[in-house]
Amino acid sequence: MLFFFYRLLSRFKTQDDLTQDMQRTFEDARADARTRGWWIYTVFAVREIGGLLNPPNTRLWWLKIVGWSLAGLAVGWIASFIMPVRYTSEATLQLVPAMVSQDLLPHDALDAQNLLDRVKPVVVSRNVLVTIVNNFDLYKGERRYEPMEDVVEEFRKSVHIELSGANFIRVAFTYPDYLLANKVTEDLVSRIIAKMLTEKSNVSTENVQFFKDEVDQLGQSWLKLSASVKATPASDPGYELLLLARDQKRKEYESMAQKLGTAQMLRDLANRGQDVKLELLDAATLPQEPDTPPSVVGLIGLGCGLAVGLLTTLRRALRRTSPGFSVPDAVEPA
Amino acid sequence: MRHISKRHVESLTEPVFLILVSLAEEARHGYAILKDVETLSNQRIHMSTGTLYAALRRMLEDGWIQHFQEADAPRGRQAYRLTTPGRAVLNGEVDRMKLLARLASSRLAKGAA
Repeated sequence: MLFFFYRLLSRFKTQDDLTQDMQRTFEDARADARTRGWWIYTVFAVREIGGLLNPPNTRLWWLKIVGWSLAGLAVGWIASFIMPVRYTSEATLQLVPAMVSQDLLPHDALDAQNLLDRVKPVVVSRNVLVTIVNNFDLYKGERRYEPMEDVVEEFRKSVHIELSGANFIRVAFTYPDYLLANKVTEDLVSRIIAKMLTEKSNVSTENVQFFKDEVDQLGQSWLKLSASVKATPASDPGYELLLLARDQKRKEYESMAQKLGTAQMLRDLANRGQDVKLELLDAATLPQEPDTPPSVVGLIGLGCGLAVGLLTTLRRALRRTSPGFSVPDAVEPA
Repeated sequence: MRHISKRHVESLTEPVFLILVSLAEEARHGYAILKDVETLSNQRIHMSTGTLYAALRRMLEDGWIQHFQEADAPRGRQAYRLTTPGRAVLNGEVDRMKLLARLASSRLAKGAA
């Protein structure tokens, strides 16, 4: 480890014969220190790394770091005033299972992702978002000098509708005004629930109609084939084939009739409000604190300043070639 | 040679002085200088290789020492020897110290009397 760090820091020095010789001398000294116990080796390691870093003047070293940190803190503090404060309001929706055996339901009835894929594009569509912008008078400043397309795009980026666990959907909206953030989130939630209800109603009605048409068609085919079987003598060469075709059609009819029954049951459940439901678990929050408080921005600035200070002083120290010796003391005269 | 006069006036730092003293006797390689400085300072000064080679680099630049490759040295190890200007600098520093020691002794004697 020490060898690795030493080699790494040595790379910042001028690469010449002297640096190579320094590395050879380090290897000799390291081998010697290893034989003298772990404590001596630890002291040796600290001294060697410190020697390579070669701080020119301890006070100056710390002054630079503190200076950069204060500068970073000042920048962060100013940035906290310049940066727009934003609040996020959140709500959680829960997909509640139907009050009926799950075996009777389609396999994707409780699939929140499937629901999200169908509902989300509608809720964040341009028309809906423009309506919300106008209803709540959002993005006043932006609307003065930006086309509506850009405003809608910015709005869309601030809206988050995503899965949160298997049966939960998280709805969030971020905006500089916490009251509007709350109201828009409530609006989005109600739109999602309404869209799901419409979707369910439409789907169940369409399903019933589809299966009904299929059953009617198959029933007519079955009746036709039955009539043909009756009209055909048993001695006819095609009689057996007709019997087979009639039985096949009957099976198809029965299967489709069963599906129609399930679709009708689902429609009835939907009409009674007993099928899969999307319920509001947590209402839209009224955010009290901004997403990034000014103190955090200030701290980030402080961290950045500290990092810049450390890197600058470290880089300068590594590039230095002159040793930072102290004033001579107590050398006996010859 | 650019710093000789300035440094001479400013006096040498202890590690630089000890490195020069170490090389005054004979040419030595880096590790031998480190060990000799420890011995000369009675184990008080333990230089790191980074510090030693930073000092050697400055001394090479100033022409106080020379480096060369010993004939039988392993892994191309370099050795360092004092040059005439370097020896002059060391002599100058020793004279300065002697003068200071004499002054101090004289003042102490006067104070005691």
